[in-house]
Amino acid sequence: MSLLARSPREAVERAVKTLPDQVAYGFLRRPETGLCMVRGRIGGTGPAFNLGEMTMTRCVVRTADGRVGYGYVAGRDRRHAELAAYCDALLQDEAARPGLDALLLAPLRGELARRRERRTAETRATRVEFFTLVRGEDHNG
Amino acid sequence: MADSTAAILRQPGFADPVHDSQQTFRAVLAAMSRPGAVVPLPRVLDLPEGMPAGALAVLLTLADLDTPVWPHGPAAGQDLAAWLSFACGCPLAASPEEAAYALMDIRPEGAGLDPTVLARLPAGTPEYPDRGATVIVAVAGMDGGCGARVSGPGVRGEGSIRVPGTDAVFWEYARGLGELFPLGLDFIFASRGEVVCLPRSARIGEILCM
Amino acid sequence: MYVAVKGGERAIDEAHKLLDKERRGDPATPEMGVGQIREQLGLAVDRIMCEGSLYDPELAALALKQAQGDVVEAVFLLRAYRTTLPRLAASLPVETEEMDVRRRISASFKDLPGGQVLGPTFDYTHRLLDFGLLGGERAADLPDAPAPDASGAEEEGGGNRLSGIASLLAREGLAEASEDDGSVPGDLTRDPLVYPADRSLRLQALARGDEGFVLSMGYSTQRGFGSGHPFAGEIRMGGVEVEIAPEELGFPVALGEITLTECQMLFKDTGDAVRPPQFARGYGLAFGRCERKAMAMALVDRALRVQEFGDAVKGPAQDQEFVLSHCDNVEASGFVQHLKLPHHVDFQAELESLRRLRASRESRKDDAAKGEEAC
Repeated sequence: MSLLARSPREAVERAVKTLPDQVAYGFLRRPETGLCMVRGRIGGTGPAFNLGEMTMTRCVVRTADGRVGYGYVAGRDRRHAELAAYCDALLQDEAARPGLDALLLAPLRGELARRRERRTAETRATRVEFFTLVRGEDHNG
Repeated sequence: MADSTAAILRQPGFADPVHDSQQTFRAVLAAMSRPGAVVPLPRVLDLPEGMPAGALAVLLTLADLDTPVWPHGPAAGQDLAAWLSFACGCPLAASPEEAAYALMDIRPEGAGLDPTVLARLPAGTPEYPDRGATVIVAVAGMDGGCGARVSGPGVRGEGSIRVPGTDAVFWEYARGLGELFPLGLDFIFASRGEVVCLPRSARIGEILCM
Repeated sequence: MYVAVKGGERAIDEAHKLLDKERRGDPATPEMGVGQIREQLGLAVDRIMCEGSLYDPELAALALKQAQGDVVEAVFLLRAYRTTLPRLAASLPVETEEMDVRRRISASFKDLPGGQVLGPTFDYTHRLLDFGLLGGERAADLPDAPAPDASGAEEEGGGNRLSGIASLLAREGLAEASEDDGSVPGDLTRDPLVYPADRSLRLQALARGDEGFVLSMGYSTQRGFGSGHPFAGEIRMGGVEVEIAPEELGFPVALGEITLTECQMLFKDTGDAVRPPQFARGYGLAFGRCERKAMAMALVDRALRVQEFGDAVKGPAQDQEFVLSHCDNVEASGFVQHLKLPHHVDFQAELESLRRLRASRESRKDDAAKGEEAC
């Protein structure tokens, strides 16, 4: 579910379109946008405090064969929440999982990893490599 | 997830959450501002017989993450509690003292409203009287039953209110609550398709139990 | 007292039209897209999210566009918008130690585990106007991306994870420990602030407080109106995963990643009978890349802990009622700007009272003059 939430909606949409079997579904809870209070920790590791809110959208779908899928995504994209819920419902089918993993999740995982790697490389390039100047020592002896 | 709970979760809430809850809110507001007046609910939830559809429509409208709900008596069944937290997104209160809303089902014969439970619900504080709880009572219908004469804001002269399933003990208790005003409890009685309200501002006169 | 006055409606409509025209500026220049603002004025967007107390870059960019670049007005727009949405969840506390770090520096330790990672910073720029930007950038001017580095991606979840300095010190007993006692934090958006406010409420208020105000308060503590010498133990910025635990699921799920800036300030505490000598900590956490804000917040957080440390009170930054009641720029702006509302009746009353005072002063003068003459 984390992968579906973190991937851009367009990427999830693209991945879903590649699936050979589309399953009919209806809403148990229509996509709904609201707020999530983001909590931090006092001192970084201590008790919680309320930092501020973020927008989120949630959705619950039920497929024709009775599987229930939940979608929760940051932001206000209703379609994204719907797609996340739909994929979650599909993934409830243990038998279908390996196939879905290859078709649906693997491309998303790859895209996310590439984005991460790019960012990590950019960041690592700004790491300071200290070198100490040697002084006051006799280099000749 | 237990199968029965999963089944109950499949019961739909409002078909059009925004508009249906706005219209239901309007109906509850009308009922609250006219104590004793029976107001039809604009949307009747299509729920199985056992579930208190009217009371749940009111909760779908009013309750959210910030309002802990205390389901009491028959309303406290696990399935209904699961439906509440799913459909309303509201937390369930750990005790009556924490409740913003209480849900009480007095449709079964002899269930009644128990003053010892009502007394545990928050009645607000002098600084924040608005923190008093609202009691949503599921009733079988709107005909007959015990009641009282009411006067005060929203009632021209004197009116009356009757609620099936209530008894004289409850109405005595409600009359006593009036002395706490502006603290107190507000009551919303909901049948499948109608509501009638007893806000804390209503003054209760003669009790009608005949 | 305010009296409703009718008759301004047409003028107000016209004023709105004029405001729209001003916002657009000269139509001969291209209109700015919200996407451009989000991508190219990111620090303004972050500040609006931080003080608007709502993380949504697109909405913050829209607010900035609509407010013609007036940040406080944009914060107001965002705060107004958030009141229209239901709250669906409260997150689990975010773990900043798990941050995918894009910047992490310490002024206290040169050789800290993981090193000093500068990230995107103004710190080493020369503050010279870059006239190259006047003519627009050419694609060729943009720096090349470094080759992807997969070494980090092999770790759990990938990214750049670095352990926190303050907790390393705390583990050695050299800095105060900060452990979760499971307490439920207060929420000033739900319950009005009552003084004294506990630290969770103070941090919430500071996190959404005006950067200028918090900065000045923090600055005042450094200039002797506060509590001891601060060291920037660690400043980090990067992506943090937000998780919620919906009741209907019974297990946590991730909503996505947000960017946060965190600051751990260290202050020497010589200790007392209960507290051993160690570094006390001031804490700052802000949405987006708001480093100045997070640092100032950490200074003020420590200053407000006067009771805990038995500090001598030397300045307003140590007075929580002063700081918390005045740090919110929507409230401050509202109360200052409300003076523009008609106060005609109040003013009439004051005018009347002044006239009476003048009349009685004149008559006293006359009486005194008569008295002198009589002598």
